[in-house]
Amino acid sequence: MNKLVRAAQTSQSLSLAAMEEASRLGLREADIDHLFLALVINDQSAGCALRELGIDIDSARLAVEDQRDAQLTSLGIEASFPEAGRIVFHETDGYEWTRRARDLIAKSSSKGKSGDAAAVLRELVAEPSGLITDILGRLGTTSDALIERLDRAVSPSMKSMPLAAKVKGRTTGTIETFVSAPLDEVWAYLTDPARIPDWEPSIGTLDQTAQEAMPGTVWEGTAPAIYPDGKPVKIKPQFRRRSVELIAIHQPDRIAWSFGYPDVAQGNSILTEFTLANATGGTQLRISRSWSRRQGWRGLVAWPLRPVQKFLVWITLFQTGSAISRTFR
Amino acid sequence: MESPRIAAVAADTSDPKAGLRAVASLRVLADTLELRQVEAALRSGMSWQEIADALGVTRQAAHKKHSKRIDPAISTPRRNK
Repeated sequence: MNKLVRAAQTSQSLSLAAMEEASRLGLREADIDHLFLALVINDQSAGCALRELGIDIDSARLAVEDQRDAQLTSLGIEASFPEAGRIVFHETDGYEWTRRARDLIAKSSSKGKSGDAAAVLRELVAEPSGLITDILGRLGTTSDALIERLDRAVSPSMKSMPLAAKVKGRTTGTIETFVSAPLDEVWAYLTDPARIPDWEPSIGTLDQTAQEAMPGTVWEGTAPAIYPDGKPVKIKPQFRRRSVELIAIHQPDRIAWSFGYPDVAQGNSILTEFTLANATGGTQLRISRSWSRRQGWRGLVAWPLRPVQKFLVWITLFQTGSAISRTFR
Repeated sequence: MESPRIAAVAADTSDPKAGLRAVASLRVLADTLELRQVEAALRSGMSWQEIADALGVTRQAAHKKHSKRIDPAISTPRRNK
């Protein structure tokens, strides 16, 4: 993966997680403390180094809140921040980075720097206000200890796990994400058909969710009628009905679902596969999505658009991955 | 303001660096509260002009800052309501 792509994907996933954290606090501007929380649940080596120091999302959130409250007290103000609620990022709008957070992320991919999450974390612990140093202190560690750990940390990559075999004539995309919950909880969530509308954006409702999840079982459902922010979805009638099939289930770490359109004659179903692995402080999750390419002239026309397709696959994978991560926060 | 609080503020000017950072946190708190109050005002049927007057800014400034940030479920009033 080249640096530009890695830097773009890193900043995308950190932005989302940080703004989600800001959204629980009723804020629309994500600052460096939210960026720190985003790094704690990051799937790359930066997140791994933080979690190996015993920092998880709950303790990190608490440290950030305590730091903010203590600062108000030091000003002689008897007030505390409103209690945090649930993440509302996906239902609301108007989010942005503060200037210093945006500059910091840009700096991490400047000349001579790698642009990955580790580079962002290195910039963050060196930020001049001292806020992050104080938060690390509340978490019982120091910048030096963290950098030292980061130098040794390796990404909890799932390279050792077998990837689904590449099938000719299929478009495939894969991403990894970190979920801050034990493997068995993530497994129970991903194998429960009733939870599919949570993580698959193209499914709105699903019937007969009480059916036992066995390979070959098919569920019927509908596409979503409204977006998370409440706006109605415009959709052609033949794309309204959806079908979901459980393709494979290998306890405790592999599951594959297929999503189709029963009312479309030449419908192309999309296969979504999950592979789970234990990681420090949670579960590393790999998500793959694939579908068969068009045959004949349509395939030829589509060929020059492959990079665009790849990007679109990444977007949908990213949506699924972040929805799952959000559920466990 | 009551005297003990003033004392606390005064005492803390001994460490201006910590004090300045604390003020930054206070701004974050003010932003959080401002958004909440604006949302509550819109829900209660106040216009952007009334909100802006209360905040002491122009209607345009209030609208620019908050129109995208507020809960999309709130139906915002038109200008000439």
